[in-house]
Amino acid sequence: MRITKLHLSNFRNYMDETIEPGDGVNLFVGPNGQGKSAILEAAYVLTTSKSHRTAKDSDLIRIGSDWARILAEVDRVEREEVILELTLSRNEKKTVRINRVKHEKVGDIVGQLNTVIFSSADLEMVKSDPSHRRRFMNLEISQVSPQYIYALGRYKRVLEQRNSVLKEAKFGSVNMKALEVWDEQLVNYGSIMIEKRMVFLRRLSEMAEPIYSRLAGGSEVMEADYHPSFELGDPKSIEEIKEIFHKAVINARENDLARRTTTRGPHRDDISFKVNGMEVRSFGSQGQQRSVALAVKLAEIELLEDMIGETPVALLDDVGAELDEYRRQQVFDLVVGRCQALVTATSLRELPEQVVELSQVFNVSAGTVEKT
Amino acid sequence: MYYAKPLAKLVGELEKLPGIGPKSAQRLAFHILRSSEEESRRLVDAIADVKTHIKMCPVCFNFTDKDTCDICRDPKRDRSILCVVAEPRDLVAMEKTNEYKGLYHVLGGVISPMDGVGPEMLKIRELLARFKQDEIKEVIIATNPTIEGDATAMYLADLLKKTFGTDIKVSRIAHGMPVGGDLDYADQATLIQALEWRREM
Ligand SMILES: Nc1ncnc2c1ncn2[C@@H]1O[C@H](COP(=O)(O)OP(=O)(O)OP(=O)(O)O)[C@@H](O)[C@H]1O
Ligand SMILES: [Mg+2]
Ligand SMILES: [Zn+2]
Repeated sequence: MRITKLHLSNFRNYMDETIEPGDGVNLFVGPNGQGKSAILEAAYVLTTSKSHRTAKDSDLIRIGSDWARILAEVDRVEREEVILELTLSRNEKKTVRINRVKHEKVGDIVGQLNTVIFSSADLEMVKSDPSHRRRFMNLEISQVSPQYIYALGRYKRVLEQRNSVLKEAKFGSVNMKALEVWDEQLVNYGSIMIEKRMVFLRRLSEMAEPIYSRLAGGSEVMEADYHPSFELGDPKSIEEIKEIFHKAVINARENDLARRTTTRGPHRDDISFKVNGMEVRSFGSQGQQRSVALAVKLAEIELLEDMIGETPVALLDDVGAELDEYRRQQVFDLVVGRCQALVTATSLRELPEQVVELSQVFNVSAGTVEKT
Repeated sequence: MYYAKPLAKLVGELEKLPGIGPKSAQRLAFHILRSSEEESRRLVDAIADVKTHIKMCPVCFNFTDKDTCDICRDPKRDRSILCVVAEPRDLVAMEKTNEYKGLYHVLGGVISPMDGVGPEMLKIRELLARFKQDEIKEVIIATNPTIEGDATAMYLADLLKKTFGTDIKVSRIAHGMPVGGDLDYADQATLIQALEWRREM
């Protein structure tokens, strides 16, 4: 899959700029604050409908403008070529168009363009609180499963409704019926999420393991385990997951009432990344944490390729500053000649010479992009 | 804003209407301003009229301008079957299909704790009371397939089963409905199909 044209209007520090990336590696080079990362961010927004750098859509709109638009033409192998368009406005809801047709749900754009982004946030995913890891699962699985997007959207709302019932409960007592109507839906949509997450992590772990060994260059073994918020065991079917989840919800009812919030379900899930059997978040060295984060991202490229039948676009933000020479080399080894890549750097010296030779270089300066 | 005060007031009121943004409100306000005295009078009267003459049918809780609504009084309707909807506009959508010949019950909303709407705020007690007088044999729950619509349907199905056991058949329209969609947006063919494929609860 490759982006053949990216058009930015009033996005970040861009006014009206068209970029035509080549098939292989595209290097965006320029001093700090010129708009290099913004290009990758734009591609990411078309992937997920949201930015990875800010939760506020209005941050993306150029100061002094009321709206912003990102348009991309995407060439795909397995599916028809597609034109994606996302418009943000300060006063109105954001809208998406797919092949010029407006879609009621912004989420419809997810899955059209597949990307994997490498940025400083990857390390956070390994080191920080579980919410980062849940976000990671949501974004990645959404890229390949419309059913997951559907279940996730419904689940979030059910959770809000159920928590409202718990908050209103007086002195820990509640009309059980009022809670039960939400339990059933919590279990239904939550079980779809759990099943997809289990499968996703099993495959991601399989693919990340050999990559990690290469990165760490030794006998270390990494794994990524799924940690649900209740004892799940090894269920064989979604029906079994539903049954176990439902029991867990019923058993946690008193606890839920005492805490006035829902304590069981995929909104409390976590991933445990381990190196040689030890939790890397707590016991890992800086280098191990970095390698795990990178192995996961590289595995994602392979996983996506496997699931959609073609390689996603790799977005490498500042890998020169983020990664040491050896890890940098590993990333390019996997990406070059395989995926289209959009890469940012403040100087060409940050990147391996052989990579620069093969690349299309763009100079980025104060919101203008020029092919060299 | 650069409107004269009365105009600003009109724009402000129009903006409060659902689906009307600042731009549309402005366009409507200018249209009204340019229209003839008679035209704008008719609009004012129409608004005043619905407020004074339209009330709720005490049986089904649909809107009506009579004591009891046309549907409830219609002798040709099948009194053994009752369709439960959330809002009057859903009833209108069902009527447009021309397929359904039974009676209705309008709940006046759906269960939504985050909006402070519990089951006790819907016309559920009134629904149960109808079984005492009418000869209802079957209930079709036609709430929207949103999570709130689903929760309300579940609540009702459970309650009806507990109260009447197997004496009353309870079903829910489901098949073919657009995911997360609203009844009043569904096209008629879809609704007809949904009605045909209703499943027991
Ligand atoms: N909404 C906005 N309106 C106008 N300018 C913005 C807006 N948001 C960000 N900017 C500016 O746009 C530029 C884009 O930043 P970007 O993160 O793309 O820079 P970069 O080239 O990646 O820099 P670095 O090398 O430091 O990572 C910055 O100078 C930033 O101050
Ligand atoms: Mg940057
Ligand atoms: Zn009536």
